[in-house]
Amino acid sequence: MKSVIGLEIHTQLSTKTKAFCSCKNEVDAEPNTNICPVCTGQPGALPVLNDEVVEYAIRAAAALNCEIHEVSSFDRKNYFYPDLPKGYQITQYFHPIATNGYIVLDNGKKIRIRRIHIEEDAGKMFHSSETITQATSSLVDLNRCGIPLIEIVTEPDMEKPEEAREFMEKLRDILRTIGVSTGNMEEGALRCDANVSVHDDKRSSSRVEVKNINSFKFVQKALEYEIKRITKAMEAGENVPQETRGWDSSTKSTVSMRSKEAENDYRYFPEPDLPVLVVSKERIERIKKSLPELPDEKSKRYVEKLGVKEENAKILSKEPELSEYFEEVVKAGVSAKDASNWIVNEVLGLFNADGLEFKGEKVPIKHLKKIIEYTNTSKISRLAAKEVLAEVYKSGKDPDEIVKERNLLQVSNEDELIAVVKEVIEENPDTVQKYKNGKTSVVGFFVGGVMKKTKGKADPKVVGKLVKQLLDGES
Amino acid sequence: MEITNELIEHLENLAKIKLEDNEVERIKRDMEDILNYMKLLAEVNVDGYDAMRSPVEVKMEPREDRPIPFDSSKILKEAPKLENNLIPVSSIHAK
Repeated sequence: MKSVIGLEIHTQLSTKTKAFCSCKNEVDAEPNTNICPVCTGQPGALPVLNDEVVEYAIRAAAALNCEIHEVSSFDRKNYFYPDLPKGYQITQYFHPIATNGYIVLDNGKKIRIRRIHIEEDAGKMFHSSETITQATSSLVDLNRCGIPLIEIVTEPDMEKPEEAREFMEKLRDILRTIGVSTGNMEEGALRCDANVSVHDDKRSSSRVEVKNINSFKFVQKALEYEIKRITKAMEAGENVPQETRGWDSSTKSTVSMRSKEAENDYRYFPEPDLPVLVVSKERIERIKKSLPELPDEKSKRYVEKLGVKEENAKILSKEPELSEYFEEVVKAGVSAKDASNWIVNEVLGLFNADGLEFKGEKVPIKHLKKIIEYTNTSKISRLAAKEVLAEVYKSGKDPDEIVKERNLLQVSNEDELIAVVKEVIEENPDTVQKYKNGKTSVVGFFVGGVMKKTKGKADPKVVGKLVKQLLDGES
Repeated sequence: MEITNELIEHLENLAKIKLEDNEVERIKRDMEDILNYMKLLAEVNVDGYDAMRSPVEVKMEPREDRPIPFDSSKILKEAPKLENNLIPVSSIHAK
């Protein structure tokens, strides 16, 4: 059995105001404070398009390799729902602003984008019980009404749930890099509906749409669940109806929301209150030229020009804040190899452990540079360096201060170390015998013993040298 | 296009209204009349004309992305009831 997956993605644009009125585009405001006659559908109120929405939509379309249309237009999608006071959503149905784009996955597979269009968001509802079907009443907040969205529709080019997840992650990284959206799925700034069907040589299932997927992990989980469910039904000879299902993250399963028969009839027609949208060739060209370096290009540059390991380059190029930080560290004089290893393995590790997003100011570049330098010159041990870094992250203190306070300076003075080395050798006559019998690998054991006694402060290179000298001298 | 009872029922559902039998008959007649009237358009020869998107030659004049506050209480006072500044509505799916 093979599956076919297509995605419909909605992205909130981070403009200052809504799409068709001058209300603030602010998702976390007090309920029903950012509303006006236009976004609440008062009679006679007229929409006026926000120019920044056009700018952002074109930027996204250019970054996603789309054909951008100089002429596009708006339409009304009609339906009744309490979160839609106008009774229709303004969207671009007949003539979208962009078509025919793509994103390339890491395995080289091209996932085509059918279209990108501008539209407006609906309000937000709070239901009186866990599920909407059980709710006896709901509360409506209209702040979200009219917040600008772009909808991105892919071709059904994905075969595996992990491809869908990778597509979504790449899309988020691109949207963030070009600064048009926060791309945050958990907060609803990026939302994804998935269409999936399953087939083999002989038969093919109906297409099922899965809604309410609210994290990157769940894109994959929901599709895995759904493909398994459809496959099982087909193998049992059951009919798979064409329907819309909702992902329920608490039960990790999908539930039927509505069947094809109850599918809405939206009666699209051209929005009479908005003239045709014309953007000049010059503007499109200007936007294309102004695009920043995108994550995949950046990753390639890090590998080819800076010699960064591919897996590190991929991580560093995802977020603009992180890549800028990395490049600043390199500019400050740290080698790209050291900078990438330290940032990916150590710095990000600290943020991940706390479940936080990377924030450069928590680990000032000059502090990180010092820690790396001190480690490279054996002023402090690698272990001590990690301790210092963790403290910088926690308190923002200067590394010098931390090293002094905690007495972490590495001891590489042979005179100071030789006594400890002698002590360890005397305490382990059996191991000394092994060395004399030719098992030279036990040197590491002695070095470890010295490190323990000095609480990690001894320079292991110097200790190793001393251990060998003493052992060889004894024989 | 024939206006059938099924079509009227579909439109009733979409418009969230319920029509009486006599109203259904009247609406069917009205809609047939409207559609027949629109058929006149099909008689016009439009060869050589580009499709028209709007009867007026107006270009979109987008606005600047600058917030202008509006006193939301003017709108909220029209709501029959408010709960913590949210607008309560009755059940949507529950029967």
